[in-house]
Amino acid sequence: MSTASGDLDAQADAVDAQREANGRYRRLQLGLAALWLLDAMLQGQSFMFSRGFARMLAAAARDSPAAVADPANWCARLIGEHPVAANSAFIAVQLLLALGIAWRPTVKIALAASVPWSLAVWWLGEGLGGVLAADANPATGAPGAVLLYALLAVVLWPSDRHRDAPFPAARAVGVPTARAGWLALWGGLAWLAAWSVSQGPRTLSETISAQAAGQPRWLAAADSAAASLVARHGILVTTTLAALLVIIACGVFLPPAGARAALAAAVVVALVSWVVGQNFGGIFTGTGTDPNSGPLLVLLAAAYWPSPASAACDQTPDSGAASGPAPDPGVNAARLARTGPRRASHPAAAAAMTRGGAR
Amino acid sequence: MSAPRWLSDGLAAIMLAIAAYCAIRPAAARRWHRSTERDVDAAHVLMGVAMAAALVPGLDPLRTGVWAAAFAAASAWFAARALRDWRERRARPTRTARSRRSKPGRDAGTGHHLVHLLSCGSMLYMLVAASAAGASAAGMTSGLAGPVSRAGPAAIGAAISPVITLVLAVAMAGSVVLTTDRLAVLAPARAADSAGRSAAGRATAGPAAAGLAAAVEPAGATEPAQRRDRAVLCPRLAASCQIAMGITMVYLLVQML
Repeated sequence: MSTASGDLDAQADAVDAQREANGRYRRLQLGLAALWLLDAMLQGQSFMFSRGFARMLAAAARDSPAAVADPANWCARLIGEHPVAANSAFIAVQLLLALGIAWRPTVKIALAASVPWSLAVWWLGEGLGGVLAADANPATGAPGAVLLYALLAVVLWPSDRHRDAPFPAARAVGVPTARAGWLALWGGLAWLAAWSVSQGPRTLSETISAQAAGQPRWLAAADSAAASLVARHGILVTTTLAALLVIIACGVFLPPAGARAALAAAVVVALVSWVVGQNFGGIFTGTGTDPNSGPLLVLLAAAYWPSPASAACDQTPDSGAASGPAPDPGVNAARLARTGPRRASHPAAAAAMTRGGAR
Repeated sequence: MSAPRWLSDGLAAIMLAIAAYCAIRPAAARRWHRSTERDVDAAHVLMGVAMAAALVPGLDPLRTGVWAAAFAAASAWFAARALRDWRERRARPTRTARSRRSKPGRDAGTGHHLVHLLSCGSMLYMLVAASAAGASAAGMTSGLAGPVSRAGPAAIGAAISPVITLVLAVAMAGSVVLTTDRLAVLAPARAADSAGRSAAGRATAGPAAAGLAAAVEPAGATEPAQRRDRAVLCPRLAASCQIAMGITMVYLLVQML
C-alpha cells in the first residue's frame, strides 16, 4: 500500500472538481439517460419478444388515418415476422442511447440520434400517439412519451450559446424558442383535453376506466375510483383540466415566481395523470415499453425551472470543466482542448483535456 | 414466448467474467503494491455469481438462504461505511473553497458506498421476493431463477410490491448513468504525464471519484509496469464492470415487475 496523503488529496480534489462540473444541466441529461436505460430494460421483457408486441404496435395506429396507420401496420408486420431480432435491435439502440448520453464524449451523438429514433417510433410504433385518432387524451399520455424524448433531446442539447439563459432548456435554443416549445406542448395538451369535452361528458371517465384492464388490483381500483369521480362531473373536470393546462402553457412567460407556480402545477398534473390515467405506463402489466409521459413531463418541467443562482453562477467567466457548473460537457472538453495544457492544472481538467484532444 | 436464451446466457457469462475479474483484483493489487477496495471487490464477486445464478438456474451453487444472509451482511457493511463516511465528512475541516461550497454528506465517498448499499439491497430484495413467491408455489427449488421463472405472475405479484421493484430499478438506472458519467473523470491524465514526467507518482485522474479503485501508482514505477497495472487495475475497467452489473440488475428487476 503506497497511497500517499497527497495523492488522496489530489483524488479528493478531482472528486470535488468533477462534482462541481456536474451542473444542473448535466443532471437533466443524466435523468434523460436513466429514462432511456429504463426503456431499454422494459424492452427486454418476455412479451416484447413475442408476436403480441407487433399486434400491440398495430393496435396503436388502428384508429389513425391511413397515412399514419399503413406504415405503422407495415412496420408491425415486419416486427411480427422477426420478433426476436427486431426487439433485440430495439434494446441495443435504446441502451446505446442511454449510455451515449451518460458518457460525456458521446453525448451529442446520442442526443442527435435520439431525435430521429424517437420520431420514427412515434410514427411507426405509436401511430403519432393517437393525436389524429378520436380518442387521444392527455390523461392517458397523448401525444405520446416518445415525442417528449425528442423534445428533451433538443432542449438539453449541449451548448452554451445562451449561457445566461434563465432556465436550462433555453441554453441551446434560446429563451423564445424554448418557451414556444413549452407553449406548443402544453397548449397541445390543453387542446386535446378540450377536444375530449366535445366528445361527450363521459369521455374522460370512460377513457380512464378502460385503462384499468390488466392492471394490478390496487391500480385498477385507483382507476375505477378516479373514473367514477370524473363521471359525476365530466364536463366540469375536463374543462377545468383544459383551463389548467392553458395556464401551465402560458406559465413560462410569467416572472420567475409565477413560472415556478405554473411549473409546480405541471409536475402535479404530470404525476397525477401518470398514476391514474397512464398507470405508470402499464409497466406492471409486463407489456409497457416505457413509463409513459409522466416522468418525462416532470423532467421537462425541471428543465424550465428558473434558477437565478445557477444563472448567476453560469455567467462567471471561469466556469470551465474544473470549476463551476458545466454548461456543456462537450463544449467544455472542446474548450479545454483549444486552450491547451497550461490551463489544466487539475488532474480532472487534464483528463477532460486529454479526451478532448483525442477526439 | 419468453426472452431468448442467448440473452440470459450472455448476461450470465458477462456476470461470471466480472466476478472472476473482481476476484483477482485484490491479489493483483497486493502484488503490484496498489490499493484496491477489497470489500467492493468481494461484493462484486458475490453479485456477479448471484446474478448469473438468477439468469441461468443451473449455475446456482448456493441455497437462497445463504445468498440472502450474504447480501444482508454486505448491505449492513456498506450502510455502516456510508454512515461513517458521512460522519467523517461532517467532522472533517474543509480543505478548499470548493469543498466549502459542497454540501455535507454528499461527497463521492458516501455516494459510492450508497451505490453499493443500493446494489446489495436490491439483490437482497430480489432474493427475498423470489423466495416468497417460490414459497407460495408448489415444487419450488432453491435458487433465484427457479422461483421467479416457475411461480407465475399471479404468485409473484401477490408476494412482492411492484412499486418497490420499480423504485429500485429506477435507482439502479440512476446509479448506472452516474457511473457512466464518471468514466470521463477516470480517464488517465496523459496531459499531466507529459507536463511532469519526472514526477514519480504520475497521476491517474480521480480514481476515487466513484471510489471504484484506488489506482495510485508507486514511486519509481516503470512504463511497462504502469501499462500492466493500468490494464488490470484500471479504474475505468472497474467502473465498466459496475455499469454492466447495474444494467443487469435493472434487467432482473424489470423482469419482476
